[in-house]
Amino acid sequence: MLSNIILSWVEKFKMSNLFNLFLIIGVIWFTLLAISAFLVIFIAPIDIVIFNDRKDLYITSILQATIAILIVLMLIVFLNYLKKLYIQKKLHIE
Amino acid sequence: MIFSDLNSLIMVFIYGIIASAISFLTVYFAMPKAIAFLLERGMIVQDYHKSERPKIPRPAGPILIIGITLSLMVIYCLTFNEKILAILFSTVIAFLIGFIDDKKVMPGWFKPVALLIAALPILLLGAYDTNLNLIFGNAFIPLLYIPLILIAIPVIGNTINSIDVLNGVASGFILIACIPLIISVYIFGSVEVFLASLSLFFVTLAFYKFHKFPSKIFPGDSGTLLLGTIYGAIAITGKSELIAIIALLPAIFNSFLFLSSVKRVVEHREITARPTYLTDDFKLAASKDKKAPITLLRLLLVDGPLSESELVNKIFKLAIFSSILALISIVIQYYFVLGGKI
Repeated sequence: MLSNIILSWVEKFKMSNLFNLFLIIGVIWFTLLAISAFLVIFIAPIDIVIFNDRKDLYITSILQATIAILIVLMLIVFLNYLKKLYIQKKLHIE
Repeated sequence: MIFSDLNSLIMVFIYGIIASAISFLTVYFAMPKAIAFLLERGMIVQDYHKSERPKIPRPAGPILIIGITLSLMVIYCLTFNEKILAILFSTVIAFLIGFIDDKKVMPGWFKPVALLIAALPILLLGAYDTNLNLIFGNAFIPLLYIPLILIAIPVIGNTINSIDVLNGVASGFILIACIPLIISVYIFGSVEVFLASLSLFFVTLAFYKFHKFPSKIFPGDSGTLLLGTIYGAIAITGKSELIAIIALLPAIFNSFLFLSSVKRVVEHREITARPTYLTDDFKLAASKDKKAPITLLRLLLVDGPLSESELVNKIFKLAIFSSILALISIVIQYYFVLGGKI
């Protein structure tokens, strides 16, 4: 009895647009975590790889900043795509 | 944050109570007087989302800035930390920008551009760390961090400003988003900024009593800009930038939706096609107009019209969800950055 009530409540919630918005926020969060991991693993140690541990701060910083800005721009493009998909589905607007 | 001994922990506890009490009590007791003063002076606006169209006093910003200033000044006198001064100056500048906008109708570009000035105290007082916490570790970004501060303060200030569309949303949203911020600053930031974050929480808590549905006072641009700016300033000085962004995701998503559909920086009042409209029974419904901007509110209403309080509850559910994600991020960052040690 109780499980049926919970299941119907879950089904109702999944059908609601609040669930879809939770999903979008979740996807953005996951993307932010993936970008953070990429920056920490591949971009932060760039000076050691390229300059053989010689601390050329400005060149390293400019390079890292450029890559980080490009990644943020890619995130904005991805968000725009996500928004368009959602709006086409829900509001039927191109 | 490292406590060398039990005495320092007790001191932080006492300072925390002092900062919280000053901020909460100032706003709690001064707000009814401010409401009476604004009503007497005719400084009111109509609440269009209610059938009786009540006249609501505005702005609450001056009382909020008094509460925050008193509390931050006491924290500064106790700690002599320049980060507190940077937070205070940034907040006061944001309040003044908002107050100008409350008094005089300014163009859409005014707030984002003017808020660049609010970021300057953080830069000039050197109240930032060039190591950015990125959940799985940190990155040393001496060059990138300065423009990041100049972008973050206007963006967060305007984000909170643009979500202030229904009774209690701006204050309630900040209140919910403050919880992960306080925890993050406690773990990754400093004692002083942690005390400042308590001030923000208790000022907002006292204000929420008057701003919640049905509102007795509106914050105005001065109130929302100062709340957003102090939130951003605490996140930067408390080394919790990404955690703050995650906690504010629904509000940031709202700004992104608006900007990407309008494609220019513009005031809401300048928009001719409204994203929502009022039904005959005073419920809010999503506009079918293709020219109307896309906002979070419009997306929340696609299933059908909702009353104002139902819509506010939905926004708070989104805020709670993003705050839970921010709390999960804190746990991940705690293990990757600190190796499980405070």
